[in-house]
Order: sequence, then structure tokens, then C-alpha cells
Amino acid sequence: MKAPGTAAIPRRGVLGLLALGTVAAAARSAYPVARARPDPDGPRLRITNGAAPVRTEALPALWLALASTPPERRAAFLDDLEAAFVSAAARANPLLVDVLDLDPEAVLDEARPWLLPLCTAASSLLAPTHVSADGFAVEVLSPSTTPSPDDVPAWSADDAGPARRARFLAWPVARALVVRGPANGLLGSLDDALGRSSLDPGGSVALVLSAPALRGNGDPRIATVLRRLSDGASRMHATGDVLRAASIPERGGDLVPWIALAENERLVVPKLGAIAPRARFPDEVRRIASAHGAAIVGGAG
Amino acid sequence: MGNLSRKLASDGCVILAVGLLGCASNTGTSGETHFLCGNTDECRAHGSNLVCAQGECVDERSIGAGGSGGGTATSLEGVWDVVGSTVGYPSTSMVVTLSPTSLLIDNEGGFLHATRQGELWAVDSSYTIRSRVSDLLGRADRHFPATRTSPVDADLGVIPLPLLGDWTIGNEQDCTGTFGDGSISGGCGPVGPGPEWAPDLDEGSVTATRMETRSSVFGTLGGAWTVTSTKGVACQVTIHDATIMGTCGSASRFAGAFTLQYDQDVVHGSTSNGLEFTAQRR
Repeated sequence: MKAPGTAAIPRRGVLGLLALGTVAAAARSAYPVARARPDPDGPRLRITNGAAPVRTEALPALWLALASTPPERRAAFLDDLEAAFVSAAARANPLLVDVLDLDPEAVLDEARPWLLPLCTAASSLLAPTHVSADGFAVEVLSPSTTPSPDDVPAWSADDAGPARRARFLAWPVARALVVRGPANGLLGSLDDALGRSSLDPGGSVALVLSAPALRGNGDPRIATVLRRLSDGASRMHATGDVLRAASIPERGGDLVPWIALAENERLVVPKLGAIAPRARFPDEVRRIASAHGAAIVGGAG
Repeated sequence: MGNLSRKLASDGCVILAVGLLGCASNTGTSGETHFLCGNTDECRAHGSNLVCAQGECVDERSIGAGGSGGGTATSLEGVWDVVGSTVGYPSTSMVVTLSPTSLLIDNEGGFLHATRQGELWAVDSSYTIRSRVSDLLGRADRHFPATRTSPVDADLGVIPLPLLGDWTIGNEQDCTGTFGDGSISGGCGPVGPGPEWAPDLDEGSVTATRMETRSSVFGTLGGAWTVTSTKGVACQVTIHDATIMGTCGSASRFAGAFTLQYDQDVVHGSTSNGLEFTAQRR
């Protein structure tokens, strides 16, 4: 694990900087910058008590969830969704006959048991701020932010007072683990084992993210299908929920600015329903990692 | 696809409903073993093993197993941060405050505040509702009394609220209910739509019957329950030790299985539809 570079492009940058940001992101992707050693206490959280910001930004949560999904399950889901789009289009065209009788909504409904926990973890991991109903807010700081002595180290063992509350609200950050595999980068069996946990209702793992995924690079079919989902939702005047969930990240971007992974590392994020009891998630990840020649090298595990 | 976003949005609330289901079970019951007190001498009149802790008489053997946020491991009393699933947004949060004299629930979309004076509760609420005509979302702000009559003496374990008995919510034409030892029932007249996450009780009723007893931190609520409503809800719920789990039939929007577990300073749960929540006591 390496600490993130300081040239990260703000995810909610000014529109006028988009072109420059794209160029910079592409350059960073092609020529990774040198990075400093990691802070064992992890990224910093900043408590900001104030009015809750309106969350209007589109988070590519579904994209990230699908990028994390084991390839076979992802392919099957995307196949089903594409077939449903064809079926729905045929129904809408009086010159065509729909022989499949599939519905995209039904496909999404069927996938919910395994996909929603991944989306929940992904959307919360991508959120720059976590806000409680009483105004208590936690900002996840990028490494380029000037430190404050009041900042809360996300992975510190100290767990009392407002820091405890901050870590709870920012659970995907505070409970995430970094797993390092063998130096030769052959992480297939580790990915498979962690992926099985993410699809198992009894498993504690939600996301298994590689360095390319955190830079918005993944199976190109995901973006293709999500564009169709987004287009379909727009035509049907769906409200913002689907459109937000189906947004697609910029390739070469920096989806999670507070972490930079080596090629043989994975960022592993728990399911929301598995952050308690506290040892459940790290115990399972540690067991899987050790069985595949890997180890936890970061996080509060 | 037109209903998709609406479905996702409403499902996002279901996890809150599940969370509140736990809280509702928590809040809906308590017996007269929970005496309010100013000092331990007041408690001794009700039992030699009772001491006064945080304004309530509790078994002295439970003292020392305390949580970190104002309650004890043997009570749900305290302030809880709750995070739960939504779709398209980061996990949502709410704050739930439980004590023998109050139930306060605040989330980003509304609140429910119930405060007790004797057997009278004053309830203030503001929540999102869906119009049955236009299917559009709106807001309901309601203030009403809830009165408990015929209090029932029963041990409700970690549940701090003294709620067993007969209830009138609003006036008698609005809602009435009975929280008994082994059966819970309630119904409403034409009160209009309730919160999206709640069972529809507008001109309907719900009944829960305990079919067998089990040991539980929820006291007399421990057991296997059958829950039915006139609006199609049909669930089997088991409360055993510190776990509440159940399944609901496919005829309602609560279809599927759910589990909820209390673990001292944490309550967490999930549904077979992928919804999850975790609550942590401050």
C-alpha cells in the first residue's frame, strides 16, 4: 500500500477544469507518481458540525459495485440486463415481437439480495461526507488536505467519544482493510475467495477493489450497460435515484482519493450489516487472506 | 422502468422500517418492573435487589456490565446512531434516543418525538407520505396524544419503555391497541397514509400472537410469533436470546426474511432483499 499522490483531481471539481483534469488523470494513469509511505492510522476524518450539505453529486456506486463483483456473476447479470433491454425495446416497437418477455426492473429486483449490499458499501465509500440527522458531519480528507490536530485517524485503535462516532458514520473508510498478496501479483485465488464472501448472504465482505478499479478502469461492458440503464430511466422520467446510481466514473480518475493501492493489493470493504460484531469482518478477511498467501497490511483490523 | 426509482426509493426506507421494527418492539413494550426513581431507597420498596440507575430501578446484578454511551448492556436506553441502506445514495443515518420517558427518532427526512408524562405521551411527527391519487411524495406533520390505560406488569428485558397495556392514539376514532403478555394488536380508522416505511394501518389492523415462549433479552416478548394484518402482511417472527428473526409472505412489501441482533452497544440487521442497518450506542 502506498499513500495517495498529492495531485489528485477533486471529484467535485469546477466544470472549467474538467478538460485539464482529464489530461492530468490520463497522465497519472500512464506514469504513476512516486508516493510516500502510508500512515498506519489510515486516512484522516474531519468532524464538521453544521448544516448538512445537499447530496446532489452522482456517485458511480453501481459501477464500482459491479467492478468488484466476481466476473462470472457480473457477466451473468449484465447478460440478463442486456437481454431485458432488448426485450423491453421489442415490446415498445409495434414492428417487433418480444419473445423474451424480460423486464430490466425484474432483473434488478432479482439481483438485489447480492447487489444491494455491494451498492450500499460502494456509495458510502465514494461519499466525501457522512452526515448524521443532528448535523454531526464527517468529511473524509484527501491526503492533500492540510492536517488539523483535531482530525480523527480512521484506523486508530482509540475508539471513544466523537472519534468513535465519526468512525461509525464513515464506516466504509474506518472498517476497510488493505490486503496484500504475493509480490508476483497472482491474486486470482484470493480475489475468488473474497468474491465468494461478497456474494454469500452470510459473508462479511462487500467490495474487493483493485488499483485499476479505483481509477475507474474496469470491464467495459459495465459502462455500456449502465449507459443503457441510464438512458432507459431518462426516457421513462425516472427520478434521480437510478440516474445517480448508474453514473459512470471517468477512466483514470481517482474514485477514492485517500488510498492508493499497489498492483498486488486489494481494498476490502465490509457489508454494512457485517461491521458488528467488530471482529467478524477482519477475522473472515484474515482467514481468507492467510489461506491464499496474503495478509492484512492496513486498516483497523 | 418508470416505477423503478420509486420502488428503489421506497425500499430504501424499508431498512429504516426494519430498524424501527426492532425499536417498535422495543418501544412498544415494557412492564412495571421499570420504576422511575430518584434514589435507591425508592427502588427497595419494589424489590430488595433493585437499585436506582439513571433514573430507573434496575437489578443490581446488571450494574457493571455497562455500555459506553449512557445506557447499560442490559438496556437499550441511550442515544443510538443508526446507518442503513438506501439506493443511489450513501447509507443514510438517523439518531434514536431511548429512555423510560422518551422515544426520539430523527432522520434526514423527518422525525418522531414521543415524550411521556405519567401514562400520557405527547407525539410530534413529521414524515414523508405518498399520495394514493397522484403517487407523489408529500409531507405530513402530526401532533397527537397517546394514552396508556390498564398498564400490564411484565418483564421486557432490555426494553426501557413502559408500554404494556391498552392504548388510545389520537382519539378513539383514530387508533387503538393492546400490548399484552403474549398478544399484541392494534387498528386504526380512516387516519390517512402513514409513513412510507410503516405497515399500512389506515382503516386496517394488525395482530401478533405468541405461539410459544423462548428465553430472550427482550423478556416476555421472547417466543415464536405470528403476525398478520388486514392489509396482507403475514409474518412469522422468532425472538430468542438477543436475536429477532423472521420471514414475511410474498403478498406484502415486507416480503422476505430479516434478522436483527442486539449486542450490548450495537444493534445490527439485514433482510434477504439486501437491506442492512447497524446501530451504535454513543
